[in-house]
Amino acid sequence: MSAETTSTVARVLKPTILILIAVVAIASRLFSIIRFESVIHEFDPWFNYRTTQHLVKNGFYEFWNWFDEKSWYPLGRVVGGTVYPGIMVTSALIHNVLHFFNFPVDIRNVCVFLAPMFSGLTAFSAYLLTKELKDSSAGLLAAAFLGVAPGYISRSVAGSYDNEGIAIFLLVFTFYLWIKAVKTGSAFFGLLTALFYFYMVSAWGGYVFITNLVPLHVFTLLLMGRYSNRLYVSYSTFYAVGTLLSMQIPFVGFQPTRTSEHMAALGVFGLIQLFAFAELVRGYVSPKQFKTLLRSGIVAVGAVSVVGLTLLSLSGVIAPFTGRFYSLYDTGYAKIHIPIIASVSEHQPTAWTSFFFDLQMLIFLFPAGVYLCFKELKDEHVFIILYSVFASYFAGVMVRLMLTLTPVVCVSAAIAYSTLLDTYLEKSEHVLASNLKGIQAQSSVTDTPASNTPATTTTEAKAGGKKAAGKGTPAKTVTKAAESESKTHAKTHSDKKRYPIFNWDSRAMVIVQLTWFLFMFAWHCTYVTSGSYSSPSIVLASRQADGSQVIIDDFREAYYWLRKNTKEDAKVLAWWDYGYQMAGMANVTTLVDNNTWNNTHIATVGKAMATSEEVSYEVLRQHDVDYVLVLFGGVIGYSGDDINKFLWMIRIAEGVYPKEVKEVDFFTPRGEYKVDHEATPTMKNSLMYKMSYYRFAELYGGNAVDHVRGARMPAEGPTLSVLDEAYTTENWLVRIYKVKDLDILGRDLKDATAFEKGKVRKTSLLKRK
Amino acid sequence: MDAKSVVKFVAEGGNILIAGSSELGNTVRELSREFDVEYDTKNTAVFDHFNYDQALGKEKHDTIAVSPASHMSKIDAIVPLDQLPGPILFRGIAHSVNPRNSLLTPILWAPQEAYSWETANQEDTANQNPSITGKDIALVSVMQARNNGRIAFLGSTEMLSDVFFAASVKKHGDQEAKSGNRKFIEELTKWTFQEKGVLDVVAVEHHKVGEEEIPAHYRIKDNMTYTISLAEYHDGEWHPFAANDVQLELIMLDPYIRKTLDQVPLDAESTVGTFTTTLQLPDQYGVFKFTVNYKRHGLSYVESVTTVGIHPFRHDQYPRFISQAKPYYTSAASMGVGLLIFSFVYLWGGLDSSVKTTKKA
Repeated sequence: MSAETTSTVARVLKPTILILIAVVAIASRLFSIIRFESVIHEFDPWFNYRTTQHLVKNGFYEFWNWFDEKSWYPLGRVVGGTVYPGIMVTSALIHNVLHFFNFPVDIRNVCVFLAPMFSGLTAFSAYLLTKELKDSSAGLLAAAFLGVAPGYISRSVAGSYDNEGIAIFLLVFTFYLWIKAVKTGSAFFGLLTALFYFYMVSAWGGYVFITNLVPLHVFTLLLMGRYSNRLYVSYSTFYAVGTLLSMQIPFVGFQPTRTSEHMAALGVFGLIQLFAFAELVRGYVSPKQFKTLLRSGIVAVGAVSVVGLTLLSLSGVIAPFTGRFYSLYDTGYAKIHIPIIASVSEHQPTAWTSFFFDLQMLIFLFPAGVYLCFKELKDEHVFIILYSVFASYFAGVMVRLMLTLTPVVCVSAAIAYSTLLDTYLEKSEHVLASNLKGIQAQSSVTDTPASNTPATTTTEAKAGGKKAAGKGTPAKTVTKAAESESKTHAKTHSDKKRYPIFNWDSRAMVIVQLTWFLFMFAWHCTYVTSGSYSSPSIVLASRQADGSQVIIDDFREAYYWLRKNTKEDAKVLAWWDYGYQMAGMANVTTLVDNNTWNNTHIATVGKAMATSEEVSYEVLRQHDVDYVLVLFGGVIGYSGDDINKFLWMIRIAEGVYPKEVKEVDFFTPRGEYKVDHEATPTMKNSLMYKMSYYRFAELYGGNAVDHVRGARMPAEGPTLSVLDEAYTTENWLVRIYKVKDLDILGRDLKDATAFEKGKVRKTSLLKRK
Repeated sequence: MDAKSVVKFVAEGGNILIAGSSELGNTVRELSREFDVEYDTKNTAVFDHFNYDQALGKEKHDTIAVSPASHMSKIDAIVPLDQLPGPILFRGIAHSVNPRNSLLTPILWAPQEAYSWETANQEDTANQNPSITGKDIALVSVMQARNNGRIAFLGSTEMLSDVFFAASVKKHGDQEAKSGNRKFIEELTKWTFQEKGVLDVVAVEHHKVGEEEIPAHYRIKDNMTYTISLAEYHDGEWHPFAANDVQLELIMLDPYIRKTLDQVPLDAESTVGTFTTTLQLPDQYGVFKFTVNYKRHGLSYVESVTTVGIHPFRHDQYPRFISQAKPYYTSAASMGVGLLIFSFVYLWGGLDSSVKTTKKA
């Protein structure tokens, strides 16, 4: 096969493969729909879905100015100003375009399928990114890896309508554009980077990762003495335009100028201006003078900026790092200072097994890929190295940041894998050698000191072959090499050293093994996706002894009960985890929800749960609560119930109400957290305990066993006087209580309840003296 | 009949008048207990050796004449003091009220020298303390339940009798006067059976100043007008309610604004009492309750709650240009102009073409 035919075939194959990868990426995310139905999953997606509905129904300006009276009662929530609107606007746009062409697609389906669709685009961006780093075959591998890697699938299955669904695409694509901008030094790509950065800012709080990683890349390059006009143009364009754009998002506002998280970007922007100025000065003064000038300049600027930053931080103009960022530095920080952050399971440090679980073979190819980046160490490779180092750290600190690690793992693993394939599949020549030669050739170009255009490296030549033509011979060779792609890569070099692997058996062994790994990887990804990441979590599935599947649909049962049986403005108090679902599915007013912006309000709810009925009742009355909702898993053994979360409620409440709620009171003298007869009086009197176990003993005729905690409950269950049981779902998973009104006769509710049960006050109020 | 069904009757809006005597049975005693009213034990009565009526209580000193001016609560909405011709005669059992129950009010209580004691053996008095004495002895009390159901507790059935109505009272050291029982009982029963002192919220209106419609929500710092119309029922028909202490509260967890409403002057035409005020909403967004919580003794409770959201400014309600930002406007404009000039100079400003080529090489 001649080189031309190969390239023609490749030209047809590549898009086909990419499309197939996208199809696989989408298809493997549809398990949840096939197993269950087309529903919105989990918690946050319900809020996104609700806001999207609002956006589609009322238009953009109403969405922008939406003040939600139904959440955080009675404080309300300024939705437009506290939301990353990217995902809602994206879905609404897709919805409106489809409707314009008369495709009557329901907004729910747009939302459900948004993340899978974007995963196809993510795979494509991974291809582009990796192509910039190595070649298109590595790019295809990267696309395939990222398309099915469970670490990314975990947040982007159909129905998981969350910011991350589109943010990972934006992250990868922004990085691709950044690398492209650095490589070409074009203001155009810098601008595109800024535009996609803006999209990213509008979509996910994780944009901070970009704002820090890109400046870090620039800073590292400056330290490495790789300042170039390309870098200056791309970063200046990106920073100036990107920052201005990002400030258009109300939720971000003036943060880029005021918070510590954004200061690195600003600092590097200043630094690169200084560098550019120094370069300019260098051209006009003698080297000796320049040296003195530079030295004094550095000292002066350094001193001024350190003093300035300290003063600004101390005076409070620049906000210190937020708690969430401290918890990235010190994993124990959140647990002590901000229990509300620590209470979220996805903010916990990652267990090592989940690295393998989410990335399988990629995790051990990953270091190899990073190593190969070190071997090349062009500007873009520096970026990948920095990205891998920081993403690995963050993924180790917080489970959910596994998501930002996954793309770079896929990219480096693809580089490693494709290098292996290149080495072992090459028929007559040896890529390893050619690569070495290529690097030598490149470095000879880069290192030419007299060159007026240090920007003209091989990379540039690759980007535009025509431009490079007619330049120095080394560049020409490399241009050809770049054009002819990996398979014919080596043919242009006839005079290189060879590392022959001619034996078909040794080749076959490696190739077969690698292929086997690929199969295992695909199998593992499918297994993990189908088994662990495709549960909508609002519907549970369990298997009976005979293997038949039972669907536990208690959540929706309870929410529909609330929707149908309560008055329109009923206020429902529940732990914040269920806030978004209640607002979305039950259409009731909630006190707290998953947007945990007001710690005091959440602590108040915690207090209502953790204190005795009398204290709690005052809180309930003050907040006009009509119903209280708890999750109780003791009957079916659902471990994510409120009694298991109760300690977090207590901790959060204790942070604000240390006199009324004390964590130690909930532990037995032996320091155990018990719910059975050993439970402490405080525990037994708490509203949460009472609501959970109310009439539980009756269900089993006095021999009740809590299946989650394996505790044998006392035969005499708790009594309730300020609440009435309103509804309990089929499997007792959700229990809803109605808050009683004050007694009409002015008795306290305990007496009133006793009276209703037929107990008449026997003791006289008068006592003979 | 048991206590439960009576309480249920009240919960459904019923009104009750309970009158006891020394022979009061346990059912009523237990029932009253639910209302925080405790009748003394069976076969006891109120005695007073100083304030007995010389005609009816001559023998046992058990018919006491209570002076309304000093021993009746001054709640004109229930029994207006000035309409009583004389002291009120009482013969019967004592009860006490739980002072912590704010719904319950004693209307008539015994003189300081009175005590409650067994009717049979009065001789023991010297050795033992009576269970209640003096002003702690309530003779008549009323409760208005939270749902405005009204309950009156009397310790004496005889005070409702014609004998007591017609009697003239002669207390030791006092002038003889006509008994006030008839008027007292008349007014008390009228009140108990919702024939007077009944308030009703006829209408609640609120709107922005200069508008008429009730808005779906307000914006912070809006000027708005709140109006509530109240009517009072007495003498068989509704009348405009007049008062100067009706307050409006804007509550979001805590009251942000508390303001006394002005009554619109009544004229012959008016059928309702209209109370209104104009105020500026607080600089705080959230879901506010506009509450009129008007609870006065003898009048039915008025608790009108209107829930209204107060929204922050819309994106287009902020000033478009602010003077503090003028340096920035200037810098942006000058930057634009500068770029324009620079582009012109650079492209057509006669820069030497040779410079360009050297640059490019």
